[in-house]
Order: sequence, then C-alpha cells, then structure tokens
Amino acid sequence: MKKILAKDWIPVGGMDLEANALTAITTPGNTLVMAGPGSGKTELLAQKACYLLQTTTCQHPRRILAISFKRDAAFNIKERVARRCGPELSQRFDSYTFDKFAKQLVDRFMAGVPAPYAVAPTYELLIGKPVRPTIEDAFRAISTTKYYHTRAVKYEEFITSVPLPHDDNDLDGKMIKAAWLYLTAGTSPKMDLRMIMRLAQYIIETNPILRSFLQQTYSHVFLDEFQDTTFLQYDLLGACFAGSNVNYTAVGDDKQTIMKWAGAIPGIFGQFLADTGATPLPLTINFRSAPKLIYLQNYLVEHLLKKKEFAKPSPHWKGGPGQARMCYFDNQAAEISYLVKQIVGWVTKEKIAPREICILVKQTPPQYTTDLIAALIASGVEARDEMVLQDLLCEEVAIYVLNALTVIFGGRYGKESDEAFGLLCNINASYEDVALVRLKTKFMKFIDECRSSYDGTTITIKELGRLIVDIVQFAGIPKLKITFPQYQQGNFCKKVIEDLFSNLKQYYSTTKNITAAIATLLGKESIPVMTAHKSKGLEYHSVIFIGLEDGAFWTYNKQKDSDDNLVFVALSRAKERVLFTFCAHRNGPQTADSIEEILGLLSGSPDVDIVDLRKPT
Amino acid sequence: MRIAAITIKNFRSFGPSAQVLAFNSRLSCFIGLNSAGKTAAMAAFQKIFGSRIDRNLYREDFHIAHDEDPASEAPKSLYIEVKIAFGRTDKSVPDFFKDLVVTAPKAAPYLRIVLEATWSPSPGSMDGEIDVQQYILLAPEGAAVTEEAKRGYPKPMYSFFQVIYVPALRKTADQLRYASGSILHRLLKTVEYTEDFRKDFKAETEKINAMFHAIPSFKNIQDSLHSVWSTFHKDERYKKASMNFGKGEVEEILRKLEVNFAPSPGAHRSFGVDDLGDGYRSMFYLSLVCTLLEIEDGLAADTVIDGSMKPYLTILAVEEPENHIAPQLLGRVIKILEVISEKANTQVFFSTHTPAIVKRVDPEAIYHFHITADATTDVNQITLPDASDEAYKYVKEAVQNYPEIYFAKLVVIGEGDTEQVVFNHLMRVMDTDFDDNIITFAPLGHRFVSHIWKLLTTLKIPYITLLDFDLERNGGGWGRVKYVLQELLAIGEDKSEILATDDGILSDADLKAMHTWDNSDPNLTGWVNFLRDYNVYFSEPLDLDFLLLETFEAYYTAEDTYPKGGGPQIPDPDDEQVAYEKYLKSAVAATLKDEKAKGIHYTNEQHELMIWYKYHFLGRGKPVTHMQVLSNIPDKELKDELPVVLRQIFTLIGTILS
Repeated sequence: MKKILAKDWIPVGGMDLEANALTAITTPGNTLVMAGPGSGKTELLAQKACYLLQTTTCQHPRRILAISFKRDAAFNIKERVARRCGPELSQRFDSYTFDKFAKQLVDRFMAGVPAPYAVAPTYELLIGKPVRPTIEDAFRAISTTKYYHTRAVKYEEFITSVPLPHDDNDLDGKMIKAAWLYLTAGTSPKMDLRMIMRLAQYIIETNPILRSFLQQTYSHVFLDEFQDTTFLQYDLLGACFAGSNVNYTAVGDDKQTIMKWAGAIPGIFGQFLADTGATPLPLTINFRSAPKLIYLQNYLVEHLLKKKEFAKPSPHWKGGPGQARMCYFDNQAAEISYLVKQIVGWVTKEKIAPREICILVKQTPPQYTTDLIAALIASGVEARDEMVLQDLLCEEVAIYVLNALTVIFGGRYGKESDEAFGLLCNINASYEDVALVRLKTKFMKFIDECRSSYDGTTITIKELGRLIVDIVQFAGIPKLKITFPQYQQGNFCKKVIEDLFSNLKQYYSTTKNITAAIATLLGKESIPVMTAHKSKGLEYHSVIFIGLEDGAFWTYNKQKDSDDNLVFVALSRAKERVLFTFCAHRNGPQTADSIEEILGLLSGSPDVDIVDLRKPT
Repeated sequence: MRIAAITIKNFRSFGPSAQVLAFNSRLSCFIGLNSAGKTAAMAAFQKIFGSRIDRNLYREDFHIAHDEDPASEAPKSLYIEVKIAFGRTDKSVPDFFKDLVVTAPKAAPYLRIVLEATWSPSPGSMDGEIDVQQYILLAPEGAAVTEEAKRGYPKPMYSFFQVIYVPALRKTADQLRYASGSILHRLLKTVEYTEDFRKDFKAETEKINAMFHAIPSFKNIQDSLHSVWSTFHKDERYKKASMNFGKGEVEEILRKLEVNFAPSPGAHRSFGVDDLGDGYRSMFYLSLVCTLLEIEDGLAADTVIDGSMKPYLTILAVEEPENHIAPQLLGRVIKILEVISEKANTQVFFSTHTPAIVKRVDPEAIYHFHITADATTDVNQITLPDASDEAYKYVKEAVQNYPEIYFAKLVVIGEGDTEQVVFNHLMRVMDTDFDDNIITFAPLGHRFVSHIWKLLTTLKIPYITLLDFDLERNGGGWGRVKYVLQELLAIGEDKSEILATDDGILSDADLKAMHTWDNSDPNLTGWVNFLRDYNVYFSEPLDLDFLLLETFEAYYTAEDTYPKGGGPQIPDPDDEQVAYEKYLKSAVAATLKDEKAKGIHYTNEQHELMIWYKYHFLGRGKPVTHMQVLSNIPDKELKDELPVVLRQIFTLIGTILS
C-alpha cells in the first residue's frame, strides 16, 4: 500500500470541501464538527477516514471506529468509505450503531461478566413493545414495599439509570439490582438494548486487559449525530476510551437535537468540549438546499433557536432559488384538495419523481395522512406510510431475498444480482478464489432453475412462499446468523422472512406481477410519508410538513427546544421546496397559540410565501 | 502474540480423545520415541497456518483406529484447534479484536481458530472426498458451540501466520535455489527493485552481451550457429539464434545467485554450500532461517511481501536439530533456537532424541509423546512442584541432569553412583537391554522421591525404586520406611491401605514418630516386604555397597583391589587386641556415620567387613572399586550369587518390559 504524505493529501474524488472541513480532516487533535443540515457530514467523515488511512495517520493495523445512531447511516458511511478509499483500506473502518457496538461486546465477552451479573448466552433480546411491561413486571415482582408504585418513572429508564455494579447501600440501587437480577439471572434471561449497553460498559470497566485491547484496536473514533448521544452511550464511550490517546471526531448539529425524549444529554457539546479538549469547527456551507431555503433556515436559527451558526449556499448550487410556503386552510378537505393538486402538478409537469417528494408529520402519520394518501392514489400518485415497512426493508435478509427475486423474475444480471451475490460472499468470508467461483456458478444455476420453474405472473402464493424459503436456504440460516448478529436472537430472522412474505403476497394480489409487487414494496414509485423524526439525515426535492398546529405540538410548552429543532429538521430536509400547513379544523378546531412563535416567524420571513385559503371571517 | 495451546483430535496418530498441548513458553521441545506423533503435531500447525500447499489435507491425515481396517470406507473427521494469546501491547491486536473471547471476569481475551475436516468415500475417486472448514470460534472454551459461533476464517488472516518447517533430512541446497517456497526465494522477495534499478540492470546486461559479441571468435560461433540453424529451419518465430546472458530481467539473474564461503579476503578458493560437511550444511540451514526471520523482523508492520502482509507470527518447527551435528556444537544450536524464540513474532517447536539437548531445555517446556496401548498419541508434560516448594529447584535440576529418563521405558531410581555402575554391569550380565535407553538408571531417590514418581507417572513411565536401608545410620531403618510411606502418601496412595496394621490404620502421630521406633522390632521386616508391592526395595542392611561387599567378600577383599602394600592396615586381632578393637570401633562408627554407633544390629562378621567398607567406599572412589571388582567376578557366579533384592528387581524389570 503506497502511503500518501499528509502534506500531499487531497480530498478523494475531487470533492470540494470548505476550509473548516479540511481542518477537521487533517487536524491531529480531537474535533467537534458542528455540521448544519446539508453540510455533507457523511462525506466529511468518509474523507477523514480516507485521510487517516491513506496517510497512515491511523497506523496499520489500528482501526477506525465509527458509531452512528441508525443502521442505514452506519451502512451508508461504511459504503462511502469503501467507495472513497478502496476495499483494502476500508477493511480497517468499522461502522456500528451504538446498539450493535454494545451488543457485540456483550455477546463475545459475556463469560467475563463478574458475579452476580453473569448472564446466560441464550438471553432473550427485548425489543419494541414488550420492553416496558417486562421491565415493569420485574420491579413489581421484586418489590415487597410497593415502592415502585410511588415512583413516577419509566422503568426501562430507571433500570439503566445507574451503571453496574449497583450500590447495595442505596435504596434505588438495591431496587434496581433486584429487578436487574430478576430479569437476567437464571436460565431464560431477558435484556433490552439499554441494559445491554450498561452490561457492555461493565464488562469493559472490569477487565483492564480487554479495555487496553480495545484501545489498541481503535486509534480514531467517529461519532455521528453526536447531538443525540444519550447518557448510557456517553458512559459506554467513557468506559471504552477515557484516559486513552484515542482521537475523536464528533459530528453533530445541536439545532437538530430532537432526541431528548430518548435521553439525549442536554448541553452535550459543551460537556464533550470540556472532556476531550476538542476544537469546535462549524461548517458553514449547505450543499443541499436552495439559497432561499438556506436564508429561511438562518432566519429560524437566529430568531427561533437563538443561535448564531449560519449557513451559506454552495457556490456551485445548480438548482433554482428555492421556494417556501406557509399554507392555511379551514379544514382537511381543503388541505387535501390543495396538496393533491400541487403534488400532481409537480409529478406530471415538473417531472419530479414521487420518491423525491416527502410528506412529514410530527407524529402518528395515519391520523394526519390516511385521507391524503387515499386522495393521492385516486389521482394516480402513489404514496405510503414508510413506518410500516422501513424496518423490514433495512434487513439484510429481506434485501437479499428481494434482490434474488428481482434477478429471477426481472431477468437482469445487474445491480441486484451483484448485491445478492455480495451477500453470499459476505457470509462466506472464508472462501478463497476457487470456492467463490464455484459459489457463483452454483448461484447462477440456482437462479436459472428457479427461473425455469416459475413465472412472475403465474406463480402461486404457495410457490412464492416455497421459493422465498429456498432462496434463504441457499444462503444458509446459520451463516446468516453468524454474519448478522441481530438474527441470533430467537426467531427474529424467521419473523423478518415471514413479514416479507406477507407483504409481498399482498402486493402480488393487486399487481398480479412479482416484479411490480417488489417495486411497490420497495416504494420505488411512491411518495414516502413519515414522521419528522424518521426523516433525519434524509433529503428530498420537495417537503410538505402537515399540521403546524397546537394539536400536533401538544407538548410544546414542555419541550420547546426539541420541537423547535424538529421544525428546523423538517425544513432542512428540502432541497428546493418546502410547504408547511395549518388547518383550522382537524379532528376538531385547531389553534396556533402555543406555537404562535413558529407560525409568526414563518409568516414574517421575507422568504416565505403565504397561501391563505381560509374563508375570511 | 503466541500460540497458547493446540488441541488435536483424529489427526494422523492422534486418536479420538482430544490431546491438548498448552504452551507457556516460546520455545517448546517435543520428545518421544519414533512414530510417537511429534511430526504429526508439527504438521497440525502447517494444516492450519501453513502455505496453501501445506494446508492440503489427504486421506492419510485422518486417524485410523488400531482395530480398524485401513481400507474401511466409514466417514472420518479430524479436528485441530489453536488458541492464541496476546500480550498487553501486542501490535496485532487490532486485526483480531473482533474475534476475541474471554473465559472469565478479568481474564485476558484470546482467539480460537479451528480446522475441521471430514473424509467420506467418493465413487469417483480412490482418495475420497475431503471437506475442510476453517473458522474462528466465537465462544469461550467450555461454552456450548453453536453453528452461529463459527465465523468463517477470513482469507487475509492466512497471511498473518507462517510456518517454517525444517525437516529432519535437511536439503540445504534446495533452500538456496531461487524457486518458489525456498527460503532464499522468501528472502529475496522482501527486496524492492526500483524502476531505475531495473533499467540500469538491463543496460548493464546489454553491455555484457555486447562485450562478448565484440570478441571475433565468440561472434563467429554465434554467426555459424545462426546460419546452420537457418538451413534446417524456416519457422519465422525461431529464426534468429543468438547467444546472450539473459534479456536483462532481474529475476533471471536471481536464479543464478549463489551463496559462497571464502576463507578470508584475498584467498583464492571459495566454497559452495555442497562443499560443506553435513553438520555445517545443517547449521547453515538454520542460519538461513534465522536470517529470514531477522529480515522480516526488520520490515515495517504493513509491508507487503509477495502480495501478502508480513506475518505477525512465524511458527518455526524444527525436526531433530541435532542431526549431523557434533554433540559439542549442540549447545550452540539450542542457543540459536533460543535467540529466534526470543523475537516477539516467532515461536519455536522442535523435536529431539538427544538427552544432550533436553538437558538444556526448561523442563516445563518439554512435551513427552508416547503411543498408548490402543496405538494413539498421548502427550504429557511433567508437573514440577510448586515454585515456592523447596523441592522445586531440586526436582527441576534433577530432570535437567538426568534427561535420559524422558526417553526410558522403565526407570530404576536409586540413590547414588554405585547403583549406576552396578546396574550397568548387571544389565549386561543379566542380558537385559540397557543400551537403547529403554531402561534408565537415575540416582534421584534420596530426597523428594515422590516428585520424581509423580513426574514419571505423568509421563506414563514405570519405575522401580531401590533405596539404602541405612540401618543404625541417622534416619535409617524405620526412618527409611517412614520416608517411603510419606512419599507414597504424597503421590496420593490410599492411607487406609498403606498404613493398615493389625491394630487398625496408623495414626498421623504414630507415623510422625515412626523413625524413633526400635529397629529390633520384628515388624520392620514386614513393612519392608510390604513396600515391595509399591516397587520400592531396600539394600539391606546398609546400602548396595555393603550388600555387594558382603555377598562377594572374597573379590572385594582380594589383593588386586588395593595397591601393593596398600589396603586397610588392620591390627592383628590376637596380637594387638586393643588396637584392633579401636580400629574396628572406628570403622563401625565411620560406616554408620555416627561416633556413638555400636552396630548392634550387625553381626561380628559384618563389623569386620565395615573395615573394608570404610576403606573402599568412604575413602576412595566407589565406582572405580565396583567396576574393577565386578569385572573380576565370572558372569555365572555373579548371576548365581546375586543378592535377593537385585534378583527380585531384575525379575520385576522383566515383567514390566514384557
């Protein structure tokens, strides 16, 4: 591997980076990059990884650890690094979500958990709905004093509120310990991801050799979406790296802190700067949005968020000037009729792909969008609630099955074929060249056999089920499980496959064509509808935010910061166009009293056009 | 990083019960008889870490049970596992971190690499079908192994290890050829040739060619060759015949590289490797290996050699380093291996058949291979007493001084030089094979004998113990019985058996006081006889010297046992009675090593013999006397008159060996 001297290094792919971005990449100390929306932070981290690896600043064989919040973000950055500096160097770039990082530590070093916290390796991972009742039950079971009743806490947060080991002399500590052991001791232990994070912290803290191995492994740590870091995560990071000479690059935007409800630490930026002595480096160029939208963002930053980090449009911006609208309606029917007309116009006249348009709500999409989606579909534009399928479509096994089905029924040996085979290579990492060639031949033969046995328009539901099972079995469930640890938990893998089958079945019954059913499942031709929370990190040509009303912002008085940030997040998803709506009647009368500041600012901005379709009173 | 253990199952001579060899040192020594499995253990490293060709498995690699038909078509499987441990600051940790596991809280993380293979008959091929699976085991030792815990072995990891295997028959010249796999080839592959160098080299080669072509007679030959060739041949492709020293490619000249040995600058003759004697050639082989390791050691960690990363760990497996080498030089060979093993990135395993080498190796790094009754390899390591125990140093030195015991099929443990000489002589006379190290005599019985017993038990080597009875000496008689009983207890013999008496089991207090018991007690003989059940014998009443002196008195007191005019100056018992009594008394005191000893358990004749005992065995070198006397005794007489205890021992030897 040819080493590039630090002074000779230039951004890979001829990328245009602003001065602070270059500093963040090449500076030897810890940095906190304050990266507003559209400032290209994934690119920045990818370029920094290239710099560290290509100039051997991250010395062979030491590695870079990148921690993200979402699985797709973790995947995107890994993929970007591989693209920027090649497969060989990017081997030394590990990208995890916080949850996965903690879980793989726990799963491998479980035997190193000191008594009495030892957990059997067959533990059940609590995910989603069962978490709270299960943990609450534990408190109920161990409490002899009805103590738990008197505490107005969320038990899943309470149980992880202090690190292990628990203090027996403290009343809370004693309670928590009893509940913890109730859940984790014995032959069928249960833990949620938060508990796993605490356990990982404990394992690292109690094994100095392990910790020194971890510190030796990673010379650089990247922290994405740093503003959302929770106490648990920050504690785990501290356990792993405090006191080492690890180099941190934290990237975040405190204007986008919307995770306080999930335990994000208020003032985390200040704490991080104090703890690590990092240099704060704000990025100022917004590569994503049109100038007008950037001016609007700056306006809100100044007047709503009361901050001073302003962005500039990219000098290379090639789109239009941008457009922002605040729309007022009397009722939902008027809102729907206006929006449908607008959207149909964008899709048919402007030729904007449905995938490039996004409909956002603050919460509960069905409540706000069911009728709108129906009206859009009636007008010939597909739209759907992404929440329903988002988790499914992120699953490796689902992606693999869909790719394989596309190859079988689409008759294409292109991207999908490569991706499906890519997964097979991934789960057979030990294969050498000859074995890989054999695998490829075997795969092609398998595809050909399936192709000659079934037709994409006549295949029966039963056959489809059989085919999906065959495709999964071709890869081999044990191999999938060892490669993707999330499948090691109970029957999660089976559940994903069944989920996929039932959805595909449903779309097939309407489209009568597997290829079309897959396209629908993937949402390739439909407008995504989601909460603003889920939209973090994504970008769209046009964004519609529905329901800038007190009803949606019922918690505004309690969490003004988070909600203000959320509006900012929604706005900053848009590349060229953003629409906010207010309905005077939506499930009853709506007001804009508590969020008057937001509406007032939007309506008062010189960059916002007002569309008021309310009947004058 | 280092190999902390290897587990082998059903591989060649290794049978179905897993053998675990745990390594605490970077230099380990494999010993054992031929075909005991030493080479198989070294091959196990090659199968898991070797070059692509070395990793190939064959039908012969699968163990065949001794009672199984070798042609059997039943499917077979083999298992090899290597455990790798890392130092606190090991540079290689980052490349393995994701594969490490721990066994217990605070324990050091380690890596488990497993090779599993199955053989099944195949209708198409005589050799059958072999399925190989190599993986990293993501479950700690002792935990249940699930399919999910097996992570396919990543290809790049093969380059993290290399095995250099030095066979018993060293073909040094082969390693000096520039051919794939040779040590010279590996060495030269670490050299980088710049474009400029290649250009210059080509130009210089052309110059040399031109120089020769400028010689008219040389040119003449080439021209004739060319013209004659063209009359035979019209093929355009081979039209031009010319004589050149290569085309100027670096690889061409490397193939012609030779290693020469010259006496000193200016000397006329230099020697090639074939001119060296076998011993030097063998040593030179090891030098080559050292050089390779040294060169690799000096390269940066991320250097790429011939397309692969420089290895983190080199496993050097050397068969019988003693081959062709004079014993005096063996120390140097071991030193070389030690130096290699001290490098952070190498670990050395070697086999040997030479006590001269074994005595130079830390006893804790010695692995004893032997074949069990069902014809499978069994590997054992001696366990030394705890390092804080006073016996630790004694036993450690004992095994280093008597390395022959490792190679024995039977060990006779005695107390001193006499036994050694006597046994050597008797082995021949009694026609019991002694030459090929099957029976070894070790004078290690005097102290801590239980540790020696333990050690031999671990090595599964049977033993017989012959101790002095030392009657009336300090600690003799009952004292010796007590010593043996205590040592037997120390190796875990059952108290209720060995301390059983007619009045019940002897109490601890009784045993503790046993040495004070009256030696006239007729029960003493009973105990002595009882201990023979544990293969413990006594030279009664005093020691083997005395016993032989008594048995073969005429030979030991004959004139040729002392110089003319020499020998004990015994006063005449009749004429100088007082002087004689005094003389006798002092001989008894000297023999029994006690000023006050009266020899009350000895007959008058025995008292008189103590004069000779004192003369032969306390004053002069005992072994010399025994050698001289024994050679005077006719074999038949020696055999017929042999003391009972020795007769019993030889009978026992015969029984054990058959």
